Amino acid sequence: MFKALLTSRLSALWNSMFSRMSKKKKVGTGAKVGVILLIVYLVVVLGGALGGMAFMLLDSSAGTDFHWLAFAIMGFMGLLLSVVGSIFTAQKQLFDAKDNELLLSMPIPPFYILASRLAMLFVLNFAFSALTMIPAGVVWLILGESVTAAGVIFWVLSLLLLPLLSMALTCLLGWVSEAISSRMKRKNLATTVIMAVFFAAYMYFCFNMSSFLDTLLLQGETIAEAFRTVLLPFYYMGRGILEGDLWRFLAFALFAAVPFALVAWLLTRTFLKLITTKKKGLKVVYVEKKARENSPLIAVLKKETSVLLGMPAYLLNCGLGVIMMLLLAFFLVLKRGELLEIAGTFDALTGGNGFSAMLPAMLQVAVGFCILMTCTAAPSVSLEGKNLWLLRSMPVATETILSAKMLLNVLVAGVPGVLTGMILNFSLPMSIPDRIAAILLPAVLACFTAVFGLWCNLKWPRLDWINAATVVKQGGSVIAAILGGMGILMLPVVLYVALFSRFLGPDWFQLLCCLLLAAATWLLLRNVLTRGKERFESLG
Amino acid sequence: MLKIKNLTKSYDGTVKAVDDLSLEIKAGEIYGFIGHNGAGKTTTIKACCGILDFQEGEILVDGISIKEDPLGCKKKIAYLPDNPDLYEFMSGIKYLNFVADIFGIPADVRRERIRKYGDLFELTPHLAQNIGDYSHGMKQKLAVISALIHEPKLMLMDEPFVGLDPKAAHILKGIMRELCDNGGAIFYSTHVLEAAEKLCDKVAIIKDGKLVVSGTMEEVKGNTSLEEVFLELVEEDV
Repeated sequence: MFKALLTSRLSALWNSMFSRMSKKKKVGTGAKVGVILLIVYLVVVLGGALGGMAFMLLDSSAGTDFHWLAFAIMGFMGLLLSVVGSIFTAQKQLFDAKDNELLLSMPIPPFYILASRLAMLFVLNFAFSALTMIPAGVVWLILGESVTAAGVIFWVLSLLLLPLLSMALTCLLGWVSEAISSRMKRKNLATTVIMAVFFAAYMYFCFNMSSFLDTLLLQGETIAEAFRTVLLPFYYMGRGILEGDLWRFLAFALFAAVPFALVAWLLTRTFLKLITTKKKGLKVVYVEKKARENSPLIAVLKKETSVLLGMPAYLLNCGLGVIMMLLLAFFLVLKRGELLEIAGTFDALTGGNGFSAMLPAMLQVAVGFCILMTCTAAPSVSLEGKNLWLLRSMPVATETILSAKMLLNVLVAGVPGVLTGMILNFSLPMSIPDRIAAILLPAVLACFTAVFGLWCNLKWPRLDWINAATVVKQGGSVIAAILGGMGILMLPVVLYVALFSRFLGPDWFQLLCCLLLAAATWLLLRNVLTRGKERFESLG
Repeated sequence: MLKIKNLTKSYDGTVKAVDDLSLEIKAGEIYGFIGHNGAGKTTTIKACCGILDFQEGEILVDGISIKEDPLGCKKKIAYLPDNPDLYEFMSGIKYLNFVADIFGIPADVRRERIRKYGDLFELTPHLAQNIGDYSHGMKQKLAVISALIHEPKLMLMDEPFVGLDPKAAHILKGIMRELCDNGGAIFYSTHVLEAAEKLCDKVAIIKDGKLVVSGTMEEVKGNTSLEEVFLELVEEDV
């Protein structure tokens, strides 16, 4: 019985990756190979980046008293990654699963239901924590510094123990988030804010990683002290692995297993009550207000906005780019002087003004990345799901529906993008083409992101989802839109460095790219409004 | 009001979900559509309201072809599915305003109609709630109100009474009759044969995508009950 439950959980995880366009069409082997290659590519890229970080940590601390800090930091990063990556799933799976009633109506002990959900969460947490711990271990083995048989065994065991610690935290935070949000009027907004706080903490840690590394080199003792006092489990884990110290590793094992055991015990005791207590939203009294008429385009746009604001996972995924753009804008305003100073120093070192001339283009690329991350259109068709019949049965043109989806993306990504471009104009001394490009490029890129995202979703829609977060976080169209968009953004950078830098300044090259991108966007838009329209009308 | 001419629809190119079906629903008629599970009722209704494309045949709504002018047809239609999957992230009133915007209903008219039907189905106090917090019956009531908000000429309904409490079902039957008396038409599928017998002016029975019998209630059932006729026809080839 438990095996059947576990198989269904894992197959749900698997199916979320191998989506079907319609009930009649099975995914071919080619598509599966494509998804596997994409996953391998992502693992290699992420593993490579984290492996590089592990190399810096292990190499710089080798021979010092703080060698263990490398594993402590990588383990801590793995924990944060697991928590951020699996908290939505934990909250949904434990407290708001759609199949709870179905399973409870069957002769299945509630403990089995809980255990199968926890096992699925373990797989998810393992995958996230392995992203940091496997590269760290591989780099450690390659470098060969302080490698012992006991240490290797402890490293392997830590791969299994660390997910327990992150699961304990994830379940607890999921429970806290559920408890707070279920008492608030705007439950989704509350969940979004709570998740944003977690995410901000994670991003703060990631963004400050380089300064942590610097501090580690200069004041290793300070960070080491922090781990020894506040982040004790990681201190024991680091020392256990790198010194092959059994007792310290056992202490880490206890730190991982005991909180998990406690949380699991608590959940076992309360699971049945949690899932059988009907959670009703707070009563809101209806007061008749004067309604405002809207055109169909605005009506659909408002509906799309409600989807975005009503789904924490969607809002967080797409809002990150906006937050980063606003941070960049603040950075430009506040650190303008320092930035110009750094540019001046580089110019003096290289002779000429090459760096200063490139700086606006480099910042534009950064803004471009943020805009590409803000891809609300990429899951927008899939998110229609079972509600697709509504728009299909109403007298609203398909072009209007698709335009509203793209318009929302243009507004969400374009407005902060253009705003950052305007601040860039005020902050840095730039040539006229640079100034035009600073405004034009974010606007064109936002349009491209919207059109390309929608094109991807019309190509790879997924309407048979149970949990909408899977479409937003793991949807093929979202991954294709973001990675494809970033590839398209990087192409001119590579072309300029390799070829065009010899006869064209970065400012004019930017303008040229802007025009080319606008043309490409227009062509893609035509495709979306003709063939894409046909695809949308054949869905369902 | 609704003319279905030789409708043929197949999903995978081999098995026909609907096979050469022809029907005519005139203004003022409540037309029942009966068949076993998988007979092709939902496919026919979805094709009539432009959700599903079809390979052969023609569907005309008030003389307008659904293939040639789908928007023109949809403006005259209201579709009520068997399962009210509505936008759960919206409140009831936001959803009704959304539908009214799409159909271009003026603010004062929509306010009047929302008040009328909201009160009739006792949903007005709950209109500020999120649809996600509604019960199945409340969602069904909201779907009915949203279908009535633009006063359609033709209502296409798939099992409209499922999930409604007896009072709401009674009110809906009254509204259906009133709509037809005012020149509208209703084409609806059902498994509740006793109710269909009392409510429908005409009835059609479909089996494996093919029309088995159609006509006025008297023509179809004669001196027996609709249930007996249906069971006899459906079991004929078994």
